Amino acid sequence: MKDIFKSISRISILTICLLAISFLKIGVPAEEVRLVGIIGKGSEKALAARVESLKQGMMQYGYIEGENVNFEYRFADGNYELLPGLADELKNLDVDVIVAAGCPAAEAAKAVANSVPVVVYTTNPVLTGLIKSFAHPGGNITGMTLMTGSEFHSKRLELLKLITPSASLIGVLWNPKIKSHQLSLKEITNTATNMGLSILPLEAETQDDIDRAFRTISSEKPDALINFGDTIFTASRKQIADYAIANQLPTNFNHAGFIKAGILMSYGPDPVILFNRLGSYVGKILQGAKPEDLPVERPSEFDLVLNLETAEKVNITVPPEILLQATKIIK
Amino acid sequence: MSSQQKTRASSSLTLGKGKRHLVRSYFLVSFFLVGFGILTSGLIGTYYHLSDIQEQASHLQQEIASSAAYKIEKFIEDIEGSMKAVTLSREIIASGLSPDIDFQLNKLLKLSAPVSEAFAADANGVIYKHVSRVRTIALKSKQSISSTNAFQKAIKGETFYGNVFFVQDSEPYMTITIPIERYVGEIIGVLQAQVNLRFIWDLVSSIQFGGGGHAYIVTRYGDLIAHPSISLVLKRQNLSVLDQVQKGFSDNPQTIKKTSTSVTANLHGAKVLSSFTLIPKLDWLVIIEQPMREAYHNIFEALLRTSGLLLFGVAMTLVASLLMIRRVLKPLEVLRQGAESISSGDLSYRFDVNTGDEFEIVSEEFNNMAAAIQDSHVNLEDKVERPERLQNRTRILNKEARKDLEDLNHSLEDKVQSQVQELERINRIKHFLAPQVSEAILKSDNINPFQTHRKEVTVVFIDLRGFTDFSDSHEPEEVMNVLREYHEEIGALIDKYQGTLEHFAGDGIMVFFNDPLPQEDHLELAVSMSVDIQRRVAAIRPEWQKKEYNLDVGIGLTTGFATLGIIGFEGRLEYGAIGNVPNLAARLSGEAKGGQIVIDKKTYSRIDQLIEVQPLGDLSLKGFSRPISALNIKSLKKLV
Repeated sequence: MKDIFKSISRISILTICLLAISFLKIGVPAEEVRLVGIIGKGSEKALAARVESLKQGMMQYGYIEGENVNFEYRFADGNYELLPGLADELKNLDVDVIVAAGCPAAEAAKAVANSVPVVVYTTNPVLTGLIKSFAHPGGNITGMTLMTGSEFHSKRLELLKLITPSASLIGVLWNPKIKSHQLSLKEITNTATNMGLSILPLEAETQDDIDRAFRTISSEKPDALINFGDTIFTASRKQIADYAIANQLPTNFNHAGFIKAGILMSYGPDPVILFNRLGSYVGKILQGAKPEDLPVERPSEFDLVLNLETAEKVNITVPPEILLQATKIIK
Repeated sequence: MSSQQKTRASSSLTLGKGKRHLVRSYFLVSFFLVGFGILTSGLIGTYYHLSDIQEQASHLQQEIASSAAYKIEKFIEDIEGSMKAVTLSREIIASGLSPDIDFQLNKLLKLSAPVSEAFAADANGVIYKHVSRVRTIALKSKQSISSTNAFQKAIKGETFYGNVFFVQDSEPYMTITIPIERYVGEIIGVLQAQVNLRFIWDLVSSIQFGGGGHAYIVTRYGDLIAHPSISLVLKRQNLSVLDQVQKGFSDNPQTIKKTSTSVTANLHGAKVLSSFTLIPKLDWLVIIEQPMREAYHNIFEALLRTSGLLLFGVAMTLVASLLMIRRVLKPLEVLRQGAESISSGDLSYRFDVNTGDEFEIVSEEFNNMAAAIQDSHVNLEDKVERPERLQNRTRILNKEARKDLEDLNHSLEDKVQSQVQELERINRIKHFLAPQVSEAILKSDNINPFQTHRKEVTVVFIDLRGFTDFSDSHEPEEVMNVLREYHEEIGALIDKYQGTLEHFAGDGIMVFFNDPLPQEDHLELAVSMSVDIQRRVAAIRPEWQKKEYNLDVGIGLTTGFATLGIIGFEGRLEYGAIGNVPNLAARLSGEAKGGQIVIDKKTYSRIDQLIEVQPLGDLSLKGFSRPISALNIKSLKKLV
């Protein structure tokens, strides 16, 4: 009797357990800690806010730093030649995905892309050879892109013209070392010509070069100043802003980070938001998505930020259309 | 002692081999009954549940599809609204397209985030002003859009919704074109906005329901416009192969329904419950999808519930049966083991069953039995002490036994002898009793005719009148013949009525009834016999008269208590009746004339309803101090 009791109890318990399992739908995968490598041309400090935003984006996919994901940072601090080595380092650390911020980093990461999925943040990814097309990146690289060159340049020039209707020579701060800048410079020169403007290229590879740029500005006297995105410009924004104000030079830079420092106007997508979207890419890849299946996205919202104090200082009256379109205004 | 022994035998309940089918059969019966019942009701319930759930799921989906379509239409309408607002400016109303339109267009960009660019064209389709978020458009002069469908529709006053196109072959956009009216009826141009459809994605992604239920939008060409998984949109996933897409856009009136739900396969081939709604204005199909399992998860739950209940029912049945069986098998096992112990010699075993039911009673009886056996065994043990004593005792026993045997023999002989004498005596009564009566007495246990006893009887004296003269005047042989004949006739009649014959005394015969065998109707029998005798005599008398025999029969009959028993001595025994009653009967017979049956008043009172009588008056009889009132029986009133 007792034997039967025992065996039946065992079977019942087993069945109940199976039922419970099916009810509860236990299917939690084993939690292993993933590793994400971040590589950038500039300094850690310059990228700090964006990296934070990246991590926020990853949390939506359940990846929380310290719990199931860790980060490895490799910053070149302006030394471009270090980038390939840093990319290799990340590869050898067996990171699950590499996030490359900016064109130089993206290029370095491309070299290790066959072993590690790469998520890039760059301009002109198709023309710089990183991806095949936006819809189907192909390869092992995907990410977010800033506006493709030519069209966006025209918008920025248009805005400049609205502020300074009489402008004809536009100074462009750019970094010859960055491939996308080379492309962009070509594009903007064409666009400017179509708009009846001329471009004054102002090369700067390092922060020191910015002084040299200033000298060119004082000698050539452009009517306005714009830039292509690069961390060296972000790092020297105060310096540039002060110089521009001092020289009554209207400025239109690529993101709002410059405005507080004194730059007159910025028009472009919010990098922090873009990095948040990058976090989604990383999350998806960690969950098993292949980069070639993740189309590259472009930003759809653009911030127009104005510094009215600077406007006053450089004697600019901001036309109502600009004011209307402004997303943020700093007085 | 017994209390110690009580704990000795363990009463474990192990199932051994042998005939132990109770648990199995009981369990199987309960299991199948309960299980079948639960299963049947569960299946029937689930079957009806199934259709309900299917309907519910379809309804839910159609609701969601309709609501999704509404939201999307609203989204587009909002943009349209902003566009309209922008065309209603003071300047435009006053003077038509003017530089102010530039401001208005920028205002549109500001108001409506999905609008990425917009332009205004005049009534000839020449673009007047074009603004963009991301680029500058240099307006080529005389660039006209008048050939476009958009312009042609809008210039007539209707909103035109353009087809979806993909920028960079990735991002979905569409155009909306509305008329610019100066005032009602006066269309001065068109306003076209390019809408970045990724702004719909949040709306579509938010449509989630059930587990895994989602929505997406498809154009007529199978282009995916919006999907919770935006990569699919940007990848340019084409869905024209899907059944829903084909049905939704078919022009067949039969398959066109506002909303429709079906079970179909999705892009990955998985089975889904899907509904679609067409937004005719935009020519978009809103498709709702839900994995089959989620849509019908209630069924799975119900099935699980039913199985759970079944298992539970089975478990309960099992537990109940096992408990019941324990109540029965356990005591049985105890009894069995106890009986085994006792039969194998352990007489001190006592059962300890306290179930409070029949088992307790049985085990008590078992205990009593065991105690009794044990006592006798103990006694026996006492007597079986040592071999010599045993021998002595045996010798004494033998002697005693022999003596007992002799005594027994003697007593048996005596008993036999007395019994034999008894039997002889009894056999003799056959002489004076009717054969059947004596047989009956011999057969019966409690009639001892040798013992005198007092009883109520009916006595009949039959007197042959004129016999003395007859015997004087006739030869002895003739007398003997007549007597013999007479006795034979009378004897036959006595036998017929089962009377007891006391004696033949020459001419007198005494018969009595109700002894030794009881006869309830002894009086009636006696009367009937007497009547019958007189009738017989009356029949014989003519013969006698022919032969000049002057004979007649007179009968006296009385009923009452008399003393009866076998009297006389060895060789001359008679069954006699003594007392007033026989005396009276005798005297009455003496008084009776030929053909008469004389009874006394007391006797008459007992049977007056049976007989016709003739009073004879009071008679003084010898031996009776008082005169006796006598009557003669003339005939029977009815046959006895």
